[in-house]
Amino acid sequence: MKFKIKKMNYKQILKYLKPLEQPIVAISFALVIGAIAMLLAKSNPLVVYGYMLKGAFGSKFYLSTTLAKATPIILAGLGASIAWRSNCFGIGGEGQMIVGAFVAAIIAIYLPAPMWIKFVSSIVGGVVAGGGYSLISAYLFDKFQMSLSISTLMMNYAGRFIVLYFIVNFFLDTSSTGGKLQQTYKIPEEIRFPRLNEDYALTIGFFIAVAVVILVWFLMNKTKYGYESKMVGYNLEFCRFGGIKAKKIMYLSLFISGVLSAFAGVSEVYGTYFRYVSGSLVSGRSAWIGLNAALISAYNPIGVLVSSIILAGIQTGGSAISRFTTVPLEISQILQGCITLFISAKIVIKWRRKNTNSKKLNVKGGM
Amino acid sequence: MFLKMEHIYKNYGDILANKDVDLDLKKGEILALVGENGAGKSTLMKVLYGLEEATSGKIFLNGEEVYINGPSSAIKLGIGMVQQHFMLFNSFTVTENIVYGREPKGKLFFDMAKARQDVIDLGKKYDLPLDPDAVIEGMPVGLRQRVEILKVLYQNTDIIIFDEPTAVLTPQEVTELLKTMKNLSKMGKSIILITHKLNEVMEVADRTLVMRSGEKVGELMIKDTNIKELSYLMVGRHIVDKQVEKVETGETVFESIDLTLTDNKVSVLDNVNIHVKRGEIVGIAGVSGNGQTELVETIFGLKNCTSGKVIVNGEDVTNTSVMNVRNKGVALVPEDRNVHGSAALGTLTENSIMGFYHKDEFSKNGIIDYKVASQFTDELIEEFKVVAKNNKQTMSSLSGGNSQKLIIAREISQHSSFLIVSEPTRGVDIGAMEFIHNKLFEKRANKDGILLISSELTEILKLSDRVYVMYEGEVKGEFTRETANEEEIGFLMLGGNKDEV
Repeated sequence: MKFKIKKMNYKQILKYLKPLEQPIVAISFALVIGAIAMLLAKSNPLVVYGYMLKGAFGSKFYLSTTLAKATPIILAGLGASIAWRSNCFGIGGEGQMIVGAFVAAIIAIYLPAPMWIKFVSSIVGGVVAGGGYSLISAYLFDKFQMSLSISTLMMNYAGRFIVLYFIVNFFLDTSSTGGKLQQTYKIPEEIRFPRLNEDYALTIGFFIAVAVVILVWFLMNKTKYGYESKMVGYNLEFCRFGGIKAKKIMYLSLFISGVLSAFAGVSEVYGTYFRYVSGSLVSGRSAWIGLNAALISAYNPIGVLVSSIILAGIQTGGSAISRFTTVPLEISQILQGCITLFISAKIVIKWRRKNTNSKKLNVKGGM
Repeated sequence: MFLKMEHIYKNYGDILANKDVDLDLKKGEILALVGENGAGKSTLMKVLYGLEEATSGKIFLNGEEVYINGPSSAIKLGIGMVQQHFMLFNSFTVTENIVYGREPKGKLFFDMAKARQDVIDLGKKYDLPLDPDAVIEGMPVGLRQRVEILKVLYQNTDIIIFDEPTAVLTPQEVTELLKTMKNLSKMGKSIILITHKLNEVMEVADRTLVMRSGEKVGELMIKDTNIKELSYLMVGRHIVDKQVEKVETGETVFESIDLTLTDNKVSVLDNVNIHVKRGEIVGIAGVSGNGQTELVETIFGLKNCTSGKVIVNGEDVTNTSVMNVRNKGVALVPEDRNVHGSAALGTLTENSIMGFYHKDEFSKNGIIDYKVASQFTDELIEEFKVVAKNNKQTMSSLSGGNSQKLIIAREISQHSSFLIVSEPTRGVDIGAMEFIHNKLFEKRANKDGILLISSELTEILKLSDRVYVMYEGEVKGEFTRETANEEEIGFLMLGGNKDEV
């Protein structure tokens, strides 16, 4: 495929930027609200945002921290996008991450095999487990019409505590550092994701995630599955008449979605914790931030990549401002909350536009 | 002058749906509003009924200017509308549906006995008898429409807008309805009738207003005009009555043997034996809801039949899958283009490859070649004269007639030997209708077989070489082009038996 750089006029550029309109509006609104909050706390928002930007992207160290944080968010965001765009509104990313991370860790620690076999089977085992876990909800929906959002949400809790049960009873790290924490032993050093630089948090995990972004983009936009799942999301009945087996698509979408979310968990095991630590994936909230990223970008994988990095930046930047200013860490949560809120406010903005229009007409009609 | 609309403009974005339209209506008059689809007649009526706000213009009632900002304010002013798609609660009774929203108040709850009496009185007054306690579910379409009419009358309206009221009715029901309209006008009600069907206009209306591309192009007294003149005004050119050429029929492409479908112990299809040969169009006449939809679905693999066989090109495809049936050479233009025939949010290209995207020309090794798909879509757009900017726009941005053309283009383009078309011209204007009919004749000339399902008897009679009549899931009679006639078929459609004719 050849990419040509065409001369574009102003209007064309605007057309290409159209998908970014909503995220930019949402983030700007959120920044304004954040600024108001800061003014109330008697801080200068510009200074604070300056620190935030610096703390998120301002140096190699900060940038690498942000990108490392973005890695599971990107993967979970891709997972959510795949499911949601084919009308499967699952919110089970967290449970799938947990199951995937746990299975991957256990295989990596206990499988008696050469390192490379360990590595491959651990990763494959982890993501397949996550995909399988997601299929349970698909089956419940298929056979008993159980709402996907409810069952996947419940499966988050189920997954978390079932895994906890196994750790406490069979796989607990009882060595000197462990014991108090509910966690497994560490996975072998040889197979962990290598860091780019010893001092930085960034591992090759991020680059794998970027490769997955491209893969998912291809899957969505070029393949038969991509077409089928998109059309199922648009109009199920139309697909039935076109001969698409919608059920198959649902199972497939939820499986791939589970695989991607599980890979987010696996990447945390391989790149951040080197073990499964109970509760770490829940408190990290990557699955939910990933869902946010998917919503912000309207399920566009490239958009998921960009918005995941921004959302991760808000987190790392947030902890930076708590170090440099009197503004508390929670400001980053306020910002994130506002972004989500304004993404959902899409409808409100459109509605307002329509409303002012009809008011104008009213005046004219009454003349 | 009773009602007057002056200089009505209405635009949707860049599109001008109504351009300086004037309309007036006298008391007790029947005014027919005719025009192709997209001519702006529905928009004009939506403005009158308060569903849309005019960009500019004035409305006067009895000489006083009125502002209508919603159906409820229209109803208050005495303007009612009988919708094309009935707005009835299917599990409620006739009475409940009619008084809904303005129930007579009792002490604590609403006064059911009075409501019931009101409905009976209303029916007597306007000569529209109805059983007040019957439940809507299971009622024939004609009676449901009667409920709609009474509902509007119950609102004490003086002006009644009928939006394409005959689209869903049998010939006999149409006759009834036209009588009702005349009767209502005699009793002082003014009626605005939106329709494409000029013979009805000639029969019932006093005056007609012809619209084309948003403008009023003619206003004529019925006694001074004729169908030819009206259709010329509507379309802007003369529609030629085409002589149907004979096509030699070939082998059988489709056959159903004792096809039976029982749903919840109710017989939906009862031993249906029909067949279609190459080079013929076979029509299925019937009031909608008599098993036609289910017949199509069982043939096409969307529903499993209880017993019987579906044979396509000599192969048994009974109760297999849609994909299998399509691969054996069957294509389908479904009855409801928005629900079953297209994805509103999908691009024209995405819509054009549905059902065939897995074929070698469009995809290899699981990868779709969108370049080929896009070219293919452009070809369809050109050949079927679909009015579209490009193939990347969404289906929802096309007008009804154009999206129907694209759907038919898609299903014809694959040269399937057997094409099922269900209501191919429902809600489509005369120009597009003529175009679609010609395309079907072309396919027939190519020696393919076509099964046509239509509730429009004139369409069946115009296109079909043979006609089956369906009533309550049974084939009640078979006619050839030579023996088919409206009266006999209409009689069978309503449940009459052949030997009683």
